[in-house]
Amino acid sequence: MPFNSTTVVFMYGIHPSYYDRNIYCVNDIAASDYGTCYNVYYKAIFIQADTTTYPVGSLPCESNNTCIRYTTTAGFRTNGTIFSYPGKQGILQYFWSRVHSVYGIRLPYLTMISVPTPSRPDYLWFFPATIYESLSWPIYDPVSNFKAYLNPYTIPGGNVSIIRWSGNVFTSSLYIMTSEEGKNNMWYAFDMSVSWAYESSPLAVIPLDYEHDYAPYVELRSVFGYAATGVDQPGWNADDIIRVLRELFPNRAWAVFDDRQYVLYLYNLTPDYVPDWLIEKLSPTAMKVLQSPADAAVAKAWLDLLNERNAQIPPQAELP
Amino acid sequence: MSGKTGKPGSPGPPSTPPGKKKVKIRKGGRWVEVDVGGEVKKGRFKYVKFVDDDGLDTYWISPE
Repeated sequence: MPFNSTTVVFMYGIHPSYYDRNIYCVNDIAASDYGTCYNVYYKAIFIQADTTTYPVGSLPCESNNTCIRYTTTAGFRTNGTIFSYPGKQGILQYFWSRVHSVYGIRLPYLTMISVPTPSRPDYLWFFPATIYESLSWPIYDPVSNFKAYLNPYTIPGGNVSIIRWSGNVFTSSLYIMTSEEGKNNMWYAFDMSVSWAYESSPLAVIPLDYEHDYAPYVELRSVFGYAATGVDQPGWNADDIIRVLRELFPNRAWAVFDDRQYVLYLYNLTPDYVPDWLIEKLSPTAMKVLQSPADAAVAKAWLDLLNERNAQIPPQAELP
Repeated sequence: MSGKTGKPGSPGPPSTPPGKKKVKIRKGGRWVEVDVGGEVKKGRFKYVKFVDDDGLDTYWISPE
């Protein structure tokens, strides 16, 4: 098979299967529950740059882990990396996103896929004229097959925007970006689904934090690419991936899929911890245990993070 | 000749110890019989456990 395709769902406050017509977070500074987020699934986004009045960690949604708080404002914010494949191509095929926000009469808080170019790392390929086109809702660009709708359903306060696109774009990296227009004291919640393809390759199966666990390590970049799923991380040689992961992450759990032998190598793992959906996705002929887990918590942490990153897949049965 | 080996009453070929199961798997383009040390079911597939030639605990997809 020359290409694998994959999908990741990001959930920032909104559950993919339902929505709440009410506001998610309270940004009225006079309200007694200011800074609280309600009915969120994972974390919503809250922008409050005043750290004197509202020190970091003081908002209720920060202390109960229902929001990601940013203490700086931004025109466009990079919320995360979807994939980064040094020396390899990915093919973006489809995405949609849905945003609830408290502001957004002129420009709703758009979650965008950013296809970076050398001259514009934050280039928003899908909106060549951001202001003009975002004033003309709904938007349909027949050339790129880009669709955007403002308030497809009503909520008591704020706005909802939904965007969809399908097509083909070759790129080695993709980011989630949000148009915030530099506004402060506001929140938004969104979910997003992104599908892309990449060439069939040996894979490193380890959910990493892009900024801290992956980007700083040239050794990792030289043997496999990063993906938000923790699974779709193609490299060139399974032995090289194993060697580098042993060196950098000797105390973590990880797996490496050799796509030539169809062998899934397990480190600090046993097959009990490998979720069924991963077996269905890779269909390995064999699993080989390089090292059994000395601490079950290490293996469980790998499984939990992998399930979280691939949460569109139904939950698996409990471990024995 | 019946094709049988050994004399009547002599011990036959080594048998699988009680509780030890043998299974044939497709490995390296050949059918290989391995001593099964356990089984694990993952999704639609069943894997049998044995120690492979490289000394690693291995779970091989079973055609049975």
